[in-house]
Amino acid sequence: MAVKLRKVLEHGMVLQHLGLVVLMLALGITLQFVHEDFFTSANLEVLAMNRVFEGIMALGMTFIIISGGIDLSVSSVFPFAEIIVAKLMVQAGLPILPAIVVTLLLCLAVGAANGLLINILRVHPMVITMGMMLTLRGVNLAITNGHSIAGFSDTFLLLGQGKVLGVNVPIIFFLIAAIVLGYLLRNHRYFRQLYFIGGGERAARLSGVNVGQVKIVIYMMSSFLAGCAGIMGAAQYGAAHWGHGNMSELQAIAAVAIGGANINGGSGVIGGTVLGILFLAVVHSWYIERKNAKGMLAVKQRKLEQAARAADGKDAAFERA
Amino acid sequence: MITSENLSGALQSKSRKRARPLASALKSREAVLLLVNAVIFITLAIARPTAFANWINLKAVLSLMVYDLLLALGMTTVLILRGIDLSVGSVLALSSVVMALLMQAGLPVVPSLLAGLPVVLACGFFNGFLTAVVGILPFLVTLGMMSLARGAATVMTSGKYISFPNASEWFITFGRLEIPFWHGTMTYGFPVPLLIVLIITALYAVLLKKWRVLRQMFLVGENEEAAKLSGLDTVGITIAGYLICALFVWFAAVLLISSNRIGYANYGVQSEMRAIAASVVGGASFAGGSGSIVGTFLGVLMLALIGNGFILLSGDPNWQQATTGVVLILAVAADALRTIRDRKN
Amino acid sequence: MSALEIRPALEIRNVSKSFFDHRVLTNITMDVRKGEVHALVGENGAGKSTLVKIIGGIYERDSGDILVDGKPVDFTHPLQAMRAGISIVHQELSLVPNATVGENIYLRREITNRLGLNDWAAINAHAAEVFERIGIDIDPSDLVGKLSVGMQQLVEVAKAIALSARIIIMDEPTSSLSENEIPELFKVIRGLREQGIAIIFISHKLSELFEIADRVTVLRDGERIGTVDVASTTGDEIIRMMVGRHLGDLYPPRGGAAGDVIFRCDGLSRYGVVADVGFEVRQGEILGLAGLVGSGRTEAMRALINADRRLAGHFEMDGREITIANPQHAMQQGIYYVSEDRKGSGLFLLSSVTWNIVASCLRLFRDRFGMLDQGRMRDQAEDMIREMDIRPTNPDVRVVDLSGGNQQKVLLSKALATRPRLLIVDEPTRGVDIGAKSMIHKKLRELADSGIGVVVISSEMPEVLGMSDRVLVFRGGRVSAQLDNHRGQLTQETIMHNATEI
Repeated sequence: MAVKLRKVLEHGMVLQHLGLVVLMLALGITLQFVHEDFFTSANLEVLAMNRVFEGIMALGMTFIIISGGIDLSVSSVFPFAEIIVAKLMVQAGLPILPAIVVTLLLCLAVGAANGLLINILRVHPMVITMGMMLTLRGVNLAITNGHSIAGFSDTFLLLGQGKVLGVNVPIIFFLIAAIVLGYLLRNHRYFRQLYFIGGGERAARLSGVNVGQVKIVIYMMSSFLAGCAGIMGAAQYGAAHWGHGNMSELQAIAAVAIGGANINGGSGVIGGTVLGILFLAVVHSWYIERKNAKGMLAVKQRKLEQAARAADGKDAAFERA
Repeated sequence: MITSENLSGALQSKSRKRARPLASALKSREAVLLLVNAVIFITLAIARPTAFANWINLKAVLSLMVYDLLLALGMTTVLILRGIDLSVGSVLALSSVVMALLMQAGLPVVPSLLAGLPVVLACGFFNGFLTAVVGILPFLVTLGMMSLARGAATVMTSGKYISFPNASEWFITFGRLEIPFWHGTMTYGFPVPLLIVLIITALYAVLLKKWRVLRQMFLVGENEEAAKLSGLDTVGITIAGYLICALFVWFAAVLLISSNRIGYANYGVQSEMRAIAASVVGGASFAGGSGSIVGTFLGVLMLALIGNGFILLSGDPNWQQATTGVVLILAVAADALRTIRDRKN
Repeated sequence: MSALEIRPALEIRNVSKSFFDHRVLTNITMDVRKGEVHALVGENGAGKSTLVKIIGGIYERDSGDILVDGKPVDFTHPLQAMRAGISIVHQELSLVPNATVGENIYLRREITNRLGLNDWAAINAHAAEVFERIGIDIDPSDLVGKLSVGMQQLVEVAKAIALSARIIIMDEPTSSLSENEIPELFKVIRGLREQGIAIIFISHKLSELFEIADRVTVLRDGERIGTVDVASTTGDEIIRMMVGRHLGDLYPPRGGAAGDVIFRCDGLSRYGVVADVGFEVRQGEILGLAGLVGSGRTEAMRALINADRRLAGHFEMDGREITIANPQHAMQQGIYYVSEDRKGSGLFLLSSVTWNIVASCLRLFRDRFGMLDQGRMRDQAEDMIREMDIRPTNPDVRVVDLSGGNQQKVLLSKALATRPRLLIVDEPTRGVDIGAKSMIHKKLRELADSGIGVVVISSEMPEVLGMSDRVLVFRGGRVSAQLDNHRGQLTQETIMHNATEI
């Protein structure tokens, strides 16, 4: 046991992870000090839900980044899934389950397309997935004409707004996915190959790794996870809109990088990504705090001014607010 | 497969075949892009002869293109250094807001515009410093800056448009200024801002190639450690690159508020993606050490022509974004196939 | 072992190979016996690497036959060669740094349960077994990235053993090892030999051949010149076969009495790495820095030019006190450090020879407007190409396409183009063939003779002994001895004695 601990500590990433935890606690404690409501379950729930969809995407992104690639298209797959599942249920009248299945199949197709294009064209994945992101975004925009789609059944809404044992469904999904994917990445020989590929594709190929196939599989996984997030997102927001998920790919990538993975590939663990997205969630809530503080300050300011004018006897109605 | 061992021999036998400049120029990436642009142009000219191929329309396309072009020039610079700047759109918005607010408050035009400079340069320096000195990934640094700048702009304006009706008249007409030129019996006007940006682009292309100070960026981007040991000031050069990018952003902001007459916190959303796309299509690589101003220009032009094409073909303007994505992939594919063909030879 | 051995482990008959219209191998015939260490030597471009890659299934031959244990084989993929018992330990290690040692050994053949999940215990046990068989002590659950280069190399060997290799090819295995890791490797090789495994050993270092090899095959320009027993040949004969001409002494004659002190250094320290290093460099002499890998020589020189933050140091150039703020500042004062890692931190591989040569002195090529004069840059490059005998002579060729020796010459040209006063070269002939090596040595001696201070860091004992007039021996980040050739202090024993704790 002592030997195992030493091994773990020698892992350079552990220091980075510890650092993240410390930083998060520091930020959290500061906010708790100022507002006394940080470490409440309500606030933590909001905090987690703020970034849970990016977190789900980040899990798939971890696999891709370890292999040396990147997937910018997830931010468009997310609304794509929202829209498709919404159209199928609301406009085509399909029951929930078939709608979800078809949606996820389409997402898998998108991922496969990404993987195939990357393999065949041998261009940097950033370019291919960016092209896919722009393409899908256009598709999303076009097939909805810019409008949102709403009108989901209550059962469906449970997928995003429901709770199991007091925890939101998307968060449960994220946790289970993180545990499963983390375990697979650590112990399944197929996914260990990602480190081989990330360390050097040519060497991996010479060792018998089917690099092309593995790439297609992980891009499909990434789109699949983004699709799941999209479905839950539609349920959570109660509507599907092409603008949802904007910038989420950047958050997902940032989570993986902050979690200690090398952005060029070859290293990274799911645990790191989880810490990374948590960190981003905490930072985001801190940012909201500042904005709220400023906003509240502006409101206070206006109230003071109105009070002053009233005191002066001027009629507030003639003054522009 | 040629290896380093036998290449010397292979090269000497091929060296005579290599020395045909025209052949290699035709195979270059810029030539491919020129061809793609020409194809798009001709297609649109045939499909919509009156609507597309007239000066009013082309003028509009080129005029709208200048903002993306300036941002792309900055992005290319940063990409050459093996960096990236995701904050260009947000800093554009921030500086537009600052300059507009100052003019709204009554400050004369020129000082207001000049006051926009320290804002962008501070952002650029922040990006460059954290990247070069502290060593944080440029992706993360500029991602943070993107949020910061956008947030600051939003807070400053509460999301409202900032107009400056009291600003000097010349600033507002500057955006619409044109130089007349004649063709046959018709008089046309060439927009001055466009002319200025084209001149800047051409100048930058030459400087990047020949000016020692800028040319060093290619070396730093290709191998930073080797550049350091070769005696180059890698930190200074990197920060300079981000500052140059900021400068381009500032100029774009100036033109933008002159043309639109407002400063707005939501300018430039998604523009960093377009800038990256145009730069990469034009020859820049995420691995650093390469980038072409001509290529970037052609990339921006391509995106602009597609956008215009959609409006004219009465296509659902919503499909424009989709096609941009597809064309990006196709253009890159065309270049990739060319490279594969080259390798086989 | 009787002379009438059963079939040789490997037979190569009339194998030829061309790449496009360029002939690389011509009618190579040789054999490798079981339980033999067979060295393969030749200049860069002689075809050793190509031959070995054909044996290992990475390339396909154009004609001829290859027999493994008497049976003809036709490999189209390295995996086939591996299954036939042939493993290559490449010069550039192909291990995965973020996977464990055990995983690396069983790459693609991991022991798993039905679901595909790795059985770590079994993998580690098997790996431990292999390590025991070859007599080394590495923990299979360690991450490969945490091991030293020497250990990583041993893991590569273990990988070959785990694949039941009967023929192991080692491509310059000692090029990145330190002096004290090499005996470890040789011990393992001897152990393998005793088990009847055939080993093909590519090396540039003649001293190693005489230490470990049984026979030597010499290739030149794609042809086999000869195969000799190590016991009955001399280094000179081998060189003659390799080069086709007498190289005379490998090292140019050393200088006479040294002149004035050009450069002096005192109290050079860098936190945790280098402590209190002091030395002088005089006109006309070459100062060698010897010591085990990791003893701090590179670190000291890098700290000198302040490429890595230095803690303390006092410097004098031509008697005047100077400060050195960073590599740029060092260069401005005439001090140039040439990196040991030409590919990683020395050259701009994707750029042309011209750009690489002028990279450090771009200021000299400005025209009236501050723009770079490409014509003059090219002229300077062509001058250097001629002076250093760089091939091919086209200055627009990308450096990545050059052989190791020529790359090293380009790197040196970059330094020389700045006309330094003090030149510090780190491992100037690592991975360089005999011809280029000799040329570089001659050049360094010329520079010293012309009044430039030359410091040479080398991990190759013969090179240190052959080139240096004085030697600083490093140990643990400090200078443990200063040895002067003129006083007869330069011997291998003295250097090793001061380099190690013994």
